[in-house]
Amino acid sequence: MENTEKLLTVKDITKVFTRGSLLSRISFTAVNNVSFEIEANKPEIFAIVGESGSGKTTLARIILHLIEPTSGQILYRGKDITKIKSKRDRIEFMSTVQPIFQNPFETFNPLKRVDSYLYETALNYKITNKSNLERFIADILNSVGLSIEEVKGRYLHEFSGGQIQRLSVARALIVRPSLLVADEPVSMLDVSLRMSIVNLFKELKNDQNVSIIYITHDLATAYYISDRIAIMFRGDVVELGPVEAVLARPLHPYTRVLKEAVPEPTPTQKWGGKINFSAIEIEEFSRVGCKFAGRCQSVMEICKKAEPKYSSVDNRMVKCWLYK
Amino acid sequence: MTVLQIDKIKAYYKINAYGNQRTVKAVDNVSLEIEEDETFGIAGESSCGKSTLIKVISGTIKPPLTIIEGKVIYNFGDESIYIGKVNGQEEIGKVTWEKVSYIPQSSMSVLNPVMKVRDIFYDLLKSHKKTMEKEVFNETIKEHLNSLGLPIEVLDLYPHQLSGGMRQRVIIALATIFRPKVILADEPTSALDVVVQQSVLQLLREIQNENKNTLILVSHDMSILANIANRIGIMYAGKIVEVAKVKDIFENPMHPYTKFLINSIPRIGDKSDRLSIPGFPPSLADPPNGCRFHPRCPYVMDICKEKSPLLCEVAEGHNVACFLTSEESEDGKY
Repeated sequence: MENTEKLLTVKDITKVFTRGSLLSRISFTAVNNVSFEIEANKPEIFAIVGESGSGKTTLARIILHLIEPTSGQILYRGKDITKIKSKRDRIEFMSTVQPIFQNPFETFNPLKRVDSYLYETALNYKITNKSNLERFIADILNSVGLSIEEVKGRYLHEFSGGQIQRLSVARALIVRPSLLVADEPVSMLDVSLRMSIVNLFKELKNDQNVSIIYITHDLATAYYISDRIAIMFRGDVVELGPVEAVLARPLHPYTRVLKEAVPEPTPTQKWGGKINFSAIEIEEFSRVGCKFAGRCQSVMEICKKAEPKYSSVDNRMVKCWLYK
Repeated sequence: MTVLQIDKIKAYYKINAYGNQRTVKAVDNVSLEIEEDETFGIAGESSCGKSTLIKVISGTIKPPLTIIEGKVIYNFGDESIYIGKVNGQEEIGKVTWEKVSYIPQSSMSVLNPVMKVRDIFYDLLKSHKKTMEKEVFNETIKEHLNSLGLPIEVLDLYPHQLSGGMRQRVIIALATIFRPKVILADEPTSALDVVVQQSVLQLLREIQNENKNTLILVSHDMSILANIANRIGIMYAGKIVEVAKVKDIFENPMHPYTKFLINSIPRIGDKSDRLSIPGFPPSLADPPNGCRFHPRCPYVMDICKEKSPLLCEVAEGHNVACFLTSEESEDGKY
C-alpha cells in the first residue's frame, strides 16, 4: 500500500490508435510510455505542454477514464481506474476527479438553463439535500467569483466566455474534487478574461487544496501558475521537472526550441534565428529512434536508430541521448 | 507616403429578424492612416470589430454589413481606390489581389480540399493573367515557392496532407505571388502552435523586408505584435482607443485598457501576480454610452459616462482616446 500517499500515479501509459481494415491496418502511437505522479498531501498544479498532435489531450482523456489505454496503469489513490467497471465505482471516481474542457460554449447545452447543471450535479452525486441546495450552490458560485443572482434562470447565450468558463469550473467543484483535469481551459477566452481564470486556478490550489492538471500550449501561463511541467512531443514526455528549472535552463533540445519560439512581450527583443520544421506531420510519428531527430540541432547517429531512455538530470527527467 | 487612409468609418450590421430591427455597431468612427513600408498591428479581443474593420478595408462589404459614414482611400501613386461614402454616393472600388491581398485566420477552410495545391495556384494566376503560357505559370510558381523557402513537393499534395503551418505558408505564398502593395492578415497564426507560429511570422516579416509592402496584422496576442509590428492600434468595442509606435505602447501605455492589457501578459521568468481586467467586454448591439470602456475603467469620471472621447495626439505619434489625457470629445470640446 505504498501508493496511498500518491493522489495519482500514471504508470507506463501507452495508447495506440489503429485505423483501416483488417488487411491494411495502420497503427499510430498517440501516447508513448508516459509516467508521472502527483502527491496527495501537497496540492500542486501540474502543466502538460506540447504542440497540437503531441498527445496531451489523449493523455487527459485516459486520466479521466474516458478512453482505455492500450497498456499501462493509472492509479488513483492506489486504485487502478482502468479496472472500473461498476457504476458505483465510476461515480465514486467522478466525485473526486473532474474535467474542465476547452470550449466553454460546447460544455453546456444551449437549450437548458445553465444553473440546472449545477443543481442536477449536486443532487445526482447526493452532495446536499434539496433544502440546502440553493445555499450550497451560492457558496460554490461565490468561490469562482460569480453570484447566484447573475446565474439563476439564464441561458448560455446570456453569458460571456469568461463567465461560462467560470461556471464550468463551478460545476466541477460541486463534488469537492481533489483533482481537476483542465484541457486548454483558457485558449478560447479573450486576453482580458484569460488571467481571471488562471488566477482562479491558483486560488483553488491555495485555498481549497485542489490539485490541477493544466494542459496547454501556452508556455507563459504554464510558467505563471504551475509547479511542475511536462513537455510532450509526438506522444513522448521529453522533459519533466519543476517549472522554473525546466524553462530557465531547458535540457532537451525540443524544450529549447519551444521556449525560444514564445514571443517576448518586449519590442526591443525580437526573434532571431531560423527554425526548420517538417512538412508532413505523420513522418514524425512513425520515426524510428528519437522522434525529434529530424529537427534537432544536436542530432547524433544514435538518435536515428534507437529510442532514448529516461535519465534523471538535476531533479528532472529528460528523454534524450545527450544525457545518458 | 500614406498608402491607406481610413476616414471616420462607421460600419454597422443591420439585422432585421422577425420584425425587430437590430444594429450592431461593429466599427464606429474609426480613423487611421497607414504608411508605405510599415507593419501595422491591430490588437483587440474577439468581437471588438477588428475583423469587420478588415472586411471594410478589403472592400468585401455585403449585407447585413453596411457603411453608414466615412470612406477608405487607397493611394498607390498611379491609382486610387475609394471604398465607402464619397460625396454622398456609395462607392465600392474594386480591390484586386494584385494590389491588396488577404491572409485569413483558419487555413483549414480556405484551401479547396479537392484541389491539389498546384491547381489552386493555377486558378489564381489564370484569373489575373489570362494570356500566360502554362510553362511560364510553372516557372513563376516554382520561383516564388523557392524564394519563400517552401519545398516544391507541396504542389502535388492536397491541402489535408499538409501540416497546419505548411498550409498557412502556402496561403502566404498565394497572397504574395503578385507582390501586392498591401497585405491584410487576420489572426494569421492563432490556430497554430508556438514553434510554427514563429516560422510563419518570420516568413511574413522577411517578405515585408524584401518587398517593402505594407502589412496590416490583426491579432489578440500582444506578444506577437511586439515582435513584428512598427505601430500598434488598440481596438476596444468598435473604436480605436490608442495608436502609437510599438515601443511607446509597451513602455508608456496611456489608455487604461492598454495598461491592463500590457500588465496582464504573463512572462516566462516572472511569477509575480498578474491582474485581469475587471468585468467583461460589452455587446456591440447595445454598447454603453459615452466612453465604451467606462464600466470597466478604474479611473472613470462623470464625463466618461456621457461623452465619447476623441482620438487625438498627446505626444509625437502617440494618439489616445481618453478624457484623462485630453479634453476633446467626438462632438467638440466639453
